[in-house]
Amino acid sequence: MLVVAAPPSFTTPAREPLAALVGNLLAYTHWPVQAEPLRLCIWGRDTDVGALQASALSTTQRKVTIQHDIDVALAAQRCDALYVAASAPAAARQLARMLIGRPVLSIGEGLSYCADGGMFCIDTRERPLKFQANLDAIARSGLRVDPQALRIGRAAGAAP
Amino acid sequence: MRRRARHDPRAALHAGLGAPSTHDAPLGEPPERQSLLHALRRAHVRLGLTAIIAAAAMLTLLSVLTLHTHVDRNLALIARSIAYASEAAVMFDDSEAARDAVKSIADTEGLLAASIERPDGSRLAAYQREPKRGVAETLSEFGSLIFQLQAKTPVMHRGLEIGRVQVRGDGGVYLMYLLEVLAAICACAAVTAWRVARLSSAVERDVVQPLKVLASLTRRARLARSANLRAPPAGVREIHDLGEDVNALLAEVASHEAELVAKHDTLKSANASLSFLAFHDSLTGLPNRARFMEHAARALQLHAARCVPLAVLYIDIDHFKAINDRMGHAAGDELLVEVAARIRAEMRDGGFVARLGGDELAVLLAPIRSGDEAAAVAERIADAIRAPLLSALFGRIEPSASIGVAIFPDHGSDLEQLLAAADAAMYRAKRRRVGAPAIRFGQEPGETRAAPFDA
Repeated sequence: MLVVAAPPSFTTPAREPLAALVGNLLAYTHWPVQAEPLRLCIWGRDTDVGALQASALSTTQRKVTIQHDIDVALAAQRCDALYVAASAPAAARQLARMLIGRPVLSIGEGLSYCADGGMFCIDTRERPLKFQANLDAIARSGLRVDPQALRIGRAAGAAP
Repeated sequence: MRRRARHDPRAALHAGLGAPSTHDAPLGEPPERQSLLHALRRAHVRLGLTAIIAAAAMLTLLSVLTLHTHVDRNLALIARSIAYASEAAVMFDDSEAARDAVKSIADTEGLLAASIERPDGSRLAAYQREPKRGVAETLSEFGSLIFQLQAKTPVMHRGLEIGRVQVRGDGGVYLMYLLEVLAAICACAAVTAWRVARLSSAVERDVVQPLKVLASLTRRARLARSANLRAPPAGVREIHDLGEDVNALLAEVASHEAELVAKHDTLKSANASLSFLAFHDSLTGLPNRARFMEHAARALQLHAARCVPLAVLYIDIDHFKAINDRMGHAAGDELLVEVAARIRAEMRDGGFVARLGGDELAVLLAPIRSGDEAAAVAERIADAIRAPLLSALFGRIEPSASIGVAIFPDHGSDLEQLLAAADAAMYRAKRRRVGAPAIRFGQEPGETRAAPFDA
């Protein structure tokens, strides 16, 4: 499934906090080579794809394409960022560890995702939402994440 | 200050005469004269005040404007700093992180309040400074009330407004500054006042006092008519020169005065001797005819008014011409002097003796009680003259005199008539037979022609 949308001309408040948080993380991340459009790959059936796309569009001001539940083996070539919901298959959750050292942003639901090599893990049980950053994974990836965003997230205690 | 002169007759008179008057008091008295010190002090005070006020006003205005710009810019800068620092927090809608960002900056910058709002107007984070203590808080509150210091700035992310920062600055800073300016102005005023006072006293010491001394000196010199006073030396050159000039003037006046006094004395003595010479006979020292006429006229005027009688005696030395011819003028002179002395010796009651000329003498008796008294005096005079004279140079001379007596008002009502009567009586006495009495009385004015030759 491929969706391409033009960036909106005004800021709209995120309809869903989770989607807003993901959008913000995308916005504060800089890739070594800025791909156009930004390719976001999502795993997990219960994800609100529309909200995610709207949020990403609004925060990054870039064209965003979303690929839902694609083959994990293709992820290394076709994704600039991963969003792994709690309901995603185990293969998708392991993907982050396999992509260590490559400029692919990995965001996942549940704090255990950071332990699995993910860069940002979101604690979906808390309101407002909290997230942690795996500074080691971020540092090795070659991505540059705005320190302000890192400060908002609490460094993952489990990160090596 | 100036007294209204509505009831002052002098002012009315002045106005009536069209006297020149000052423009601000058309009917006023002549303007009150202020003292030099007063005028100078007022000028100094005005100058000082004007300088302070002008400088203070300009400086205050300029500095307040500058300060305002500065504070505004600074506040805007702080707001922008907060916006930068809290951008991610606003983006992630994290009010805790936003509050931390605001507080860290607001605390160090001493802001009164700061807040971050979401685009929809709801508040993400707010900061309010904890109240200070005592005067500082009062100053801060009051200043913030007067000076509304605020700044607003949007929180931007990639060119989009994601929130809004609003900050309120502490107006106490302004107020403090203005109070400092006020204090500085007061200090300047105090310093200026001190300088003005010093200046005034210096002017008083160097200018006013010497001038007063000079003025009182000239006044004393004028009142006491003393040109011996001298002005003391003064510190200011012009005043010193003035004093020296006054001294020179006084010295000149003194020398002129001395000269005048000397001249006056000379003139006075010359005048006295001249006057004596004019009215006295140089040989006998008796008053002369002019003096006698004057004196007699005055006496007659005086006594006529009171109807008091007086008498005029004409005395002529008999055979004086013969004595002169036979023995020489020196002998005649000696005889005259002797006769004059004898007559004068008889004048116990203030009779006035004069030499009318030649051998002719006259006596004025004023007042007399009666004709008899005059007769008695004439008798005494005749007796006194008749005593022989023993001259060391000319031997024995036996003088005699003819006396004519005229009595006012019996023999004349004015001096002319009296003198004529006495003269006529004297001539009658002169033409007497040998052994007849040497004294004749005047006749009534009417009788003169009836019996011209009664002798």
